[in-house]
Formats: sequence, structure tokens, C-alpha cells
Amino acid sequence: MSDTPKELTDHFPLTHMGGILRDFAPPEGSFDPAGAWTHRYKVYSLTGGATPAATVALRRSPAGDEAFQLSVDYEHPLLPDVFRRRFQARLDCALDPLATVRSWSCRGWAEDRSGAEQPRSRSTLAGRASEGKVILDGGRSLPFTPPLVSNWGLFEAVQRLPREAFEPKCFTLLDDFGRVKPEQSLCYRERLSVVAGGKLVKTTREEKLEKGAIVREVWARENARNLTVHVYDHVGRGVVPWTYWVDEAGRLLLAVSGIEGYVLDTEEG
Amino acid sequence: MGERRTTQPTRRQFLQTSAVAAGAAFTTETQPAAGKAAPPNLLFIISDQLSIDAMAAHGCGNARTPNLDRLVNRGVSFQQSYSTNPVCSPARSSLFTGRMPVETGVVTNGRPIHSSVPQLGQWLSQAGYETAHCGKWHLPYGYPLEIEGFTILPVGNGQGDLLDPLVSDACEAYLKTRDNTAPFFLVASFMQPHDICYWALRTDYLVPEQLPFPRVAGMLPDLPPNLRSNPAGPSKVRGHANLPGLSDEQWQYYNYIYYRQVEMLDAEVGRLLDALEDCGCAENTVVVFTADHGECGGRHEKHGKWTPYQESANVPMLVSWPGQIPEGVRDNEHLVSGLDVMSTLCDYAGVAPPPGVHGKSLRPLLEGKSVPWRDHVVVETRVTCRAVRTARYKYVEDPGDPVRQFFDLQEDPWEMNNLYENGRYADLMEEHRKLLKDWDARMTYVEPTPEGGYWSPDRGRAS
Repeated sequence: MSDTPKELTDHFPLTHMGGILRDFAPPEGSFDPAGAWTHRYKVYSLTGGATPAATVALRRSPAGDEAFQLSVDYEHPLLPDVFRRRFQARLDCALDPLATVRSWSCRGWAEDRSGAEQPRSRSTLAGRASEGKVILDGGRSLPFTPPLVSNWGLFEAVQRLPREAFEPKCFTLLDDFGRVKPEQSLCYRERLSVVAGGKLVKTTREEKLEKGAIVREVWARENARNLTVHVYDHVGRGVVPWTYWVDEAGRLLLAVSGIEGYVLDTEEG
Repeated sequence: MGERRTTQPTRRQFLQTSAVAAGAAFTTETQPAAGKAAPPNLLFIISDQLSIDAMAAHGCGNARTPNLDRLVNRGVSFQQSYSTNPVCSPARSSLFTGRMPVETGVVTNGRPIHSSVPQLGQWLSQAGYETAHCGKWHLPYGYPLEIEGFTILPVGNGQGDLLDPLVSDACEAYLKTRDNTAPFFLVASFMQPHDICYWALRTDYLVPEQLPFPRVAGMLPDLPPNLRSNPAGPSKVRGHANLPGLSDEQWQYYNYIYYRQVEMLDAEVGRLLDALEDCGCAENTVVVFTADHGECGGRHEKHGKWTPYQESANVPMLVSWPGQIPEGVRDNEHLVSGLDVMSTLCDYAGVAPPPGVHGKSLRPLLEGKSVPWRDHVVVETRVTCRAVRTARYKYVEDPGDPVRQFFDLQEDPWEMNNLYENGRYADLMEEHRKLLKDWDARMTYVEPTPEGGYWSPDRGRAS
């Protein structure tokens, strides 16, 4: 197998994100996944191309030696930019490999372009995990097999996981703060060498034939950098498989599940 | 073909005229008589591209659907329920009007309902219901910001993975914040498992016999017996929705993804049903769940919908009202259609359905009454193709195409053996042809309405 780094889009399921990843320049430099940081992702709908769909900001705040808080701020603009649907949530998580979630709260609403909340659009979800039960505000109780891991918590957890040495782990998924989905697993798939950043330019390449040679036009990156990314897969009931791409520093650069794609846009902290 | 209208009143004129002509229906029937209960709330849940056999309670071993099973176990499941036209917009036009697509003008995707045909939102809002719609509409626009007769609970535009949670979120917010001064008619229209449509695009990138997610290798569903079966039929059936060249493993993988999307739908339906209970409305709400069409999933080597085969046309129809409707009943006897939703909801609302509606109210069946019932349903597809399903058989024709189909669904439930050229069935086929002819004569055809596209950034409103 060639060791030549490939484009990110040469790897399934990033294959349908060509237009977006062509110009993707991942952040560089050091990063402490166990520290305080804010990652903003652009969310795309991958229906034969990549259509902007939403944005999400994840902010991690350490809370002592054994825990941290993860805040989620999600915005889904409604074309033609008349309304947007938003939710803001906070997760209290254990500082363990999968960021086991202990308690959470989420509020959602619709607002118009002036920021005015639309009537009768506010929803709230809150709960905690206790002794093998998810207890939602309002009294509803759902049993689960520990550990309980939030879908958003996985965006944080994959950044701290061991790489090739990571043994697959099983868990129950708390999906979007109120859906409990059992029989999930997360595993390390592979390490990839890829090129990213720089600028794509058209150039020519000579190919020798049996008799003579031809010159082909090809795309190549100028001033690109070679990256090593680590790929994790999450599969289970009620989810289309998720794939996470994490750089050597531990940043989650990309995540894809079916036709839902997340691209790291900005980093703070 | 049937009678064509030459002049069409607008929908508003139709509603006003009907309201006057059927004045009793809007006054005495919607105002409860002394001692008579107020009409119940109505929750209409629509799924996109859900085959009836993709639910655990219906025997599917590949998907866990505890919340859809809740509806099955707490109500009546009609096993012989058929889409009027197994593709999104035409089927949905029938769900909302009780008329066949040739009468709504929505003969293909992305068309509005004909201006002369009232839809449920208009009809029930005039009857005093508080009407709200959330999620996919597709008549013609996917997620418009205005639908006549409905208050929209906006969630945006997109696909099931990102939007369905917002639909259940918005519906929950609505249920928990409304003021209960009038009964509600809420439409929760989910996209899943329609997201499977885009999976076919990815098959080019899947190396045969090499799964991109090795961990699912042991979880792949079995292949259907009719995977490689493509019997003779009209070219619009035989030649459409094909996805040849996929390996067995690729088809298994396709269906693995489909069943995960069914489970995603199930989770959102669960959230909605929980919200209905938590707001105290469950005891006074009739829940109707159906799908616009099914998914081929490799059967007959096809993907998507469009065909009159069972996998595409046979869809769930669940009605639940604990304490009022028997629970855990699987009705495999009565032929039911998407046409019946309008009549059923109107019956529970205590109003007559609009004139010209072809559907039948399911309420007598739900109450265990023995009533005369239809002996066939018709499925339109691809504009001119027609299928007629009787208790045992299915006949398919496309005028002008000499090749027809005739299946004995009792002996051949997978529709692999086309009996059309078997002389033994000539008389039976003739009976079915006559049913189609009689059906055609009953239709009041309209010109197809103009295509409006799925979404226009400049036009967020339904025309």
C-alpha cells in the first residue's frame, strides 16, 4: 500500500464533502483536550454535496480533577433566514474515557431574525443518571446499562482517547438529551496520513506509456501540510454509524454520520 | 379517462360554498350536544419511506422499534394499508384530502394540491380545531413557512437526521404550552427513514465485499428472497428504481443503515408520545400513524419507492386511543388506503368530510363493528401506471404498455411469479381490469398542478 498521503476526501465517508474539504485548513499547534476550550463546527447536510445546515459550539470547562462541564450551543437557521431553531444545553460529565454523563439540561426554542422568541416554541429537557436509571425532569424514568454517554460528549471524549491501543467500549447513548439508545460501541479503526490546507491548483503530470508519454492535468495542493489523523467508529442501535477524525494533538477535526457532517471551524482556548 | 374539470373554483370559494351547503356539519355537529363529549384531539404522525414490515411489532427482526410497537400494542394496526401513489407528494396529497392524486393534481413530486380540493388543515380549522403542522409538507415545498389552514411550527429545511429531533422538540413545546381552549389537530411529519435515499449515492464508494465499518459485519440483516427477482412488467415498473450491480453484502449494508434510520424515527415518535402523556392529553387524543410510502430495500433489486410492489406500496396504518379503541389488534382483513385518513379524522372530529372524498372512515372497524367494506384499493404510480389490489391478487397495468402484471399474493407474497401470461388467470385478470375501469370512471380528473420544486430560497411559502 502506498504511503503517499491522500486527500481527506479519498476516505469514505468523507467522499461526499469534496467541496467543503477542498479548502479545509485544520488548526495547527498544540491543544489540550483535557483543558478549557471552545470548538465551533459547521454542520452540513451531505445529500449529494455538502449543504450548510447548522452550527454548533462546544465549550469545555474543567470542574475539578474528576469532572468537567460541556456546553452546547446549536443553531439551525431556517431558510430564507426568517426563523432559526436553537438549543442550549449543559452536560455535567465524569472525566473518564467516554465522558460519562451525570446530569444535563437543555432548552430549545425558535426565534425570528430579530432574536425574538416565537410563541409556544420553548421546550426543556433535563435529567440525571442515577443507579442505572435516567431520571428526566417530570418524573419519567428509563433504565439503562452503564455507562451512559451523550452524543455530544463523544465529541469531547474521542479527543482524549488512546489511539491504536484503545480497546472497543460498549455503552448506552443519551441521544439529544432525552432518547436513551442501548447497545452502542466505539472503537479505533485506523491511522491515516492525509494532506490538507494550502491551495488546490491545477498542474500537469507526465505519464509514461509503452510508447511515448502523455501529459495529464491533475489537481495538486500547494503549501499543504501532511497530517496524521486517527479514526474512530461508533455504531449501535438507532444511529447511523458515526466516524470521528482526530489529529495528533487530539483535536476532533471532522465527524460524519450518514448524511450529517461536522467540520471544525474555529478553536479557542 | 374520467371526467375532467373545465372550471375550478378556488379552494376558498369551495370551502365557503361547502360550509353554507353543509351548514349542519359545521354548526350542530361541531358543537357538542348537551351531555355529549367534546371532540377529541387528533395527532397525525407521518413517517417518510417506512415499509410496514420494518417494525418489530410487525415481525421485523432487524429493527428495534419500542415506540412504534407502543402504538401497535395500544391500538389497531391495519396490515393491508396501501399508499395511493408510493412517492412523497402524491401520497401526501391523498393523506390530506381523501382524494386520489389524479384528483388532487399532485401526480408527481413537488406539486401543490389543486386549488379546488380542501385539505385537512383548512377543513378542521373551520370546524373549530386548533390546527398545527410541523415537519415535512412537500406540497409543493418541503418545509414551507405557511400552509393554509395550519399554524406552522417552524423547524427549517433539511433531512431526517438533523430535522426530526427538531420536529419532536417543536411538537413537545407546542403540546406543553398550548392553552387547551379548543381541541388540537397536530401533524408531526418526520422524514426518517427517507434519509436512506442518499445512501444509494454512496454505493459507488463502497468496495464490494469490504465494509467500511467492520464492527457491523456481524449485524447485517438477511437478504430478502426476491432480491434478484425482476419479473416482467410494464416498463415503468420493471425499468425504474433499479440499483443493479450491488453485491449481496452491499445490499445488506444498505438495509443495515435503513433499519438504523427506522430506529431513529422510533426514538422521535417515542419522544412525541411521551410529551402527549406528560401534557395530560393522551387520554383524549386519537393518534393516527402512517407513512407516505415504503422502501424497496433491494427487493426486486430496487431501491427507494415508486413501484406498486408490496415493499413500496404497503405501509403502516396505526390508530390508537387507549380506553376508546381496542388494543393490540392486527387487522389483516380490511383493505385500507391513505384516502381513509381524512374520513377517519373527520369522523372523530364530528364533521362530515368534504364532498368527493373517496376514503372511508376507519372508525366503525376500530369500534369492532361489522360494516360493508371495499373489496379493492387502487395504487397509482408514475403518472399513468395503475395497480388494483384485492384480497388475494394484485393486477398492474400501464395503458399503452402491452406487458402487465398479475400476482397471487397468497401463494407468492414476494411477487416473484408474474401470472399475466398464464391463461388460467384470464378471467380473474379481466375482473381486475374492470375494477380499474370502474375506478377510473369514478375519478374527477384535474390537470396536474404546476411543479413548484422542493424548496426555493426566495419562496418559503406554499403557492
